[in-house]
Formats: sequence, structure tokens, C-alpha cells
Amino acid sequence: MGLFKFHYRRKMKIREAIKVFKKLKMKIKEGNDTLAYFYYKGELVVRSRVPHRRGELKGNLPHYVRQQLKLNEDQFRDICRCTKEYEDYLEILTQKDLIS
Amino acid sequence: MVGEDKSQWIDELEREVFKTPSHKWEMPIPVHTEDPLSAQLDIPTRHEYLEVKQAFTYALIAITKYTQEISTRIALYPTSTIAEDIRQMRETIRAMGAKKSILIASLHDSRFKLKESISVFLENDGHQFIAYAPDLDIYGCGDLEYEALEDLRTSIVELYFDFKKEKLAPSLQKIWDYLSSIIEEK
Repeated sequence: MGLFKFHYRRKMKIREAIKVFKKLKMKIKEGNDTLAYFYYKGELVVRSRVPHRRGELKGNLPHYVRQQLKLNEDQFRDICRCTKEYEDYLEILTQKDLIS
Repeated sequence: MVGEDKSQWIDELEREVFKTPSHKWEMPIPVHTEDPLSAQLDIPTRHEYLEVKQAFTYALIAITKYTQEISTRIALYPTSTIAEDIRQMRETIRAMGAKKSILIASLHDSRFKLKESISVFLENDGHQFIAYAPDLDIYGCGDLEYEALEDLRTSIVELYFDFKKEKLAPSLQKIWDYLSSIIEEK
């Protein structure tokens, strides 16, 4: 923890992102990049992409991945640590009016 | 400093340096006008350039004030903490000065023609260039600006084919409606 509360841009490992995709029961398509699709009641609700060629996601890239998942940093971390599950994700999407 | 609550002066300093409205920092704000030549050439205008420059100037003021305060209180903190703060400040300043707005007029794909240009934010976050299209909520990245834009173009084409075959929720349907209205398949 620094002296000041700067915007802290956390690194994200690719396997960490894929772990979250799997926990959220997303359909994963591997290629040059990993594409993840979240369906609800037969409709595509969320689509996310993780580029592979750069290894670890650094700088602002984790922000864009989280943004595509409609999650903030805390929510993403909670899902990664198993304190939030698929049902919690549904609730988050419901609160954002993305599903009903 | 003896007996002073550290968190109190940290809060005060933060408030002073980072939360003071910029017009109270007594910096002359440069007067600038739109540059018609830049607009014709589809490159950042002088106005955009000066906005970035201005943001960078304010960031420099912030870092100067911050450094002065740190130097008077440095004994209270371990060097590693200060080094981490400086690293984060550098990243913040780099991010502030490196974002620009551009338009892409082609997907560089012979199968498609763009009817309208797509708005893109291009930034250097210190690790890579990232091109982000806010209207499509999609990004591309690369070591060079050109690579980030090419990656974005590829992503847009992938997005087009994905959305074309899927049943979409209303939030993504809006993106598809926009995307299909600006892309023409040859």
C-alpha cells in the first residue's frame, strides 16, 4: 500500500482470466486469442476477448477485459477467489439490466 | 511530525494536490483554435495536442508538490514504499498524456467496406498501445500504434461474424444494429 491512493492497475494472468470464464460457465473458443461467450436463456449477453500473444495482461488491458465482462476489479477478484459464483454474476448482470 | 496522525496529512495533501480544481492551480491555460489542416488529414488537431500537453503540465505540478512534501517527511516511510509510489505516479502521468482520439475508415479486409468511420481511443499505457472502440466495446493491442489498430480491425471483423450468427441480448443487439449499419459486405 503506497502513501497515496493512486489508481492501481493490477496485472492479470491469462490463466486467471480463463479461470473466471470457466467459473462463469462461459463458452470458450481458443484460437490466436481466447474468446469467451456468456449465454443466458439462449441469448448472448457478454462477449470477452483475451489476447494471447503478449503473455500476461499488463497495463490497462485487465481493465478492458473486466469491462467486457461487466465486472469491476473487486467483483473480478471475488470471482477469481471463489467468494462469488455464477449466481452472483447473474445478480450483477440483473442489477445492470443486462438480463432479466 | 511527532504525534501527528500520518493519515491526516496524507488526506490533506491528496486533497490539495489531486482534488483542487485545475483553474485554482494558477496555471495559464493556453488559448488555442481548431486546426483545419489537421481535420482534413484526419490526425489529432492542435487543440487535442494542447489538451494533452495541458494535462501533462498539471500532472507535473502535482508531482512537484508531491515530491516537495515527500522530501520533508521522507524519514517516516520506508524507501520501498516511496519507490512504489513514484512508479505508480509515472504510470499515471504516462497514461494521462498518451490517450488520443482517432477515426478509422477501413477494416483492411477485402470482404468489407466501412460506410462510416469508427471512433477509436488510442493510448499508450506504458506496456503497450491499446486501441479501444467505445461504440463497439472492443479493443486491440500491440507494441506499435499500427499493430494495435490492426488488432482492433481484426477484432471488429471477428465480432461481426460472431454477432451475425448469434441470438443477442438487447445490450449486444444495440451494438450489432450499429455495427451492421456501418459495415457493408462486398
